[in-house]
Amino acid sequence: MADTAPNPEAGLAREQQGARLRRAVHGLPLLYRQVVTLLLEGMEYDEMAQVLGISESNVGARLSRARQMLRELMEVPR
Amino acid sequence: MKPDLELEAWRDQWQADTQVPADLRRKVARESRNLRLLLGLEVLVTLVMGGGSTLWAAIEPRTEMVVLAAAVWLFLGAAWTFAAISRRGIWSPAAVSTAEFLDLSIRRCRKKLLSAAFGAGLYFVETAFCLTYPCRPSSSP
Repeated sequence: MADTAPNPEAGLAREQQGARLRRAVHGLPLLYRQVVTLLLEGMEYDEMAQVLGISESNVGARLSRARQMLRELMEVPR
Repeated sequence: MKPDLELEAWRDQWQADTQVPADLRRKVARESRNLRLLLGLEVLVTLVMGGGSTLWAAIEPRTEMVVLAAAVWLFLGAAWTFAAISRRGIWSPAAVSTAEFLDLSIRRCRKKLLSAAFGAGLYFVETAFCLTYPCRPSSSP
């Protein structure tokens, strides 16, 4: 009979990736953490601009920088 | 449009995490307690004001007193109707996730703003009624 239970190793790896992402997000300066958190929660640019009271182009600029910083932070071994 | 695979992967990882931050969980729990407390106070006010005016009208069955009791119940009814409508869907989160807890907290803030506006309006109407209603206690001979 085939084992339909989720692979524990894959689950663990996924959990570790999630934890690394959360740590990296928390390590961002507030200005960038705000936009990244809203983006990860599924918001669109116009919604983020409305929530944060900034223009959509400003959202784009912050996100671009934030994603760059996030990549760097996720590469740093903890 | 090219799919943003990196973002999709990050979103999956982020949204797969069902752990709600402790401070957000505490805030929502505190708001829930306050909501229950407010409900208890409203029941008390209803009993005191509604019951009191009805009792007064029963003891002193003049037309003015009966109208006053009816007006009190009308105002209470308006307040309860508004409360029932505005509190729909703000008692508990739809799911145990950060997004849902955050959404609930935002919904509660919006309802509070709406309640403040309604409360001010009702207060104005009640004050106008009390100042203009020609109800005076019966004068002793």
